[in-house]
Amino acid sequence: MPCDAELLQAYLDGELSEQAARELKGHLAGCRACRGELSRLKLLWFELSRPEEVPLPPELPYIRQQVIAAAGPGRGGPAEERSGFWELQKLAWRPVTLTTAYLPGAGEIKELILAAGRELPGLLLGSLNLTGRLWQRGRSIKKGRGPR
Amino acid sequence: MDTDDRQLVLKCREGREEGYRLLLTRYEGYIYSLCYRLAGRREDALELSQEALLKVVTGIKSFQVNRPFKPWLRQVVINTCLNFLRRHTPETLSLDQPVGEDFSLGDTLATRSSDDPQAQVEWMETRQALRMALSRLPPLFRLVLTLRHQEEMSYQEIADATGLPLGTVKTYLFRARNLLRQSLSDLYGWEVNGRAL
Repeated sequence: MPCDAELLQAYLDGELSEQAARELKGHLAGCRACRGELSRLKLLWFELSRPEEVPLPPELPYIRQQVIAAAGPGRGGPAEERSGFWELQKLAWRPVTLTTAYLPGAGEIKELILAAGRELPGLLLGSLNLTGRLWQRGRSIKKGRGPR
Repeated sequence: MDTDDRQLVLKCREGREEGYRLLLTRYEGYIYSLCYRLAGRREDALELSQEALLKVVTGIKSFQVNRPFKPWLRQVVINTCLNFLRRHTPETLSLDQPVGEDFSLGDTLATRSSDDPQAQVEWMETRQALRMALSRLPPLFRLVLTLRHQEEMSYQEIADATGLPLGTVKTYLFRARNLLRQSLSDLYGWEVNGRAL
């Protein structure tokens, strides 16, 4: 029987028939090179079979909740129609981004940028206008003037 | 099937949210770990985990309750990852093609330190070198290796799960291990020439 590296691998995988395994053992008894190679492969097998420690991401519970909310009881539509992970992330963070835009000071951003001589896309300017109006309205409510 | 799994699956089928929550909590870590090992990147693993979890939730009604749950779940993850790998592999790069023509796993290893050669053969370093080598394997090589060594699936089970021909599974495993063996050869100074590797 000639030296056969593929047979050694199949042997370590437990994929050889009893007959083939017997023949290989017979070959190993008389072939020092193959015995050495088998030992080296065993080390590789040992390393590959050790469970890799994969740190679990903190997003997992959130993803679970999103999945159940999107497709759980009473909402069993096809998965392909639903949003991807990053779309769900955007949805989840939308309240935070809106709140941030409404923080005091947002009303001055437009003036600051215009003073710096830059042009912004119309969409962003529109958003800033809206944010500024909301802020102004919020201030007037606080002062007791009520919404106009 | 594990009694607890069966009870949870039945709860899901009754439309009880608690069943989904407990079932997903039990397996989401396993799903993410498998996705990470198959795909190799955290961002991809997150996306794949979500996709797989959705498929589990939407497909739970088609699952046969008298069969083991985990193999079914694993198949869902494998299918999800295979689809992903096929979608995200450029047409010019085959899934089983090495990263480059002159690709050498030895290139991924740290330069051997001349003043402390023994430090190069410590276990942690071996693992790190292997991990790097694994990450550079062609996606399908990494996939069959993971299924064989981490999931302890047989050649035939891997062929059934992936749809690859049995001979292809054997070839991928053999070629992948030879590439990894090279990485260890560089660390340990093993002979490569003269062997049928």
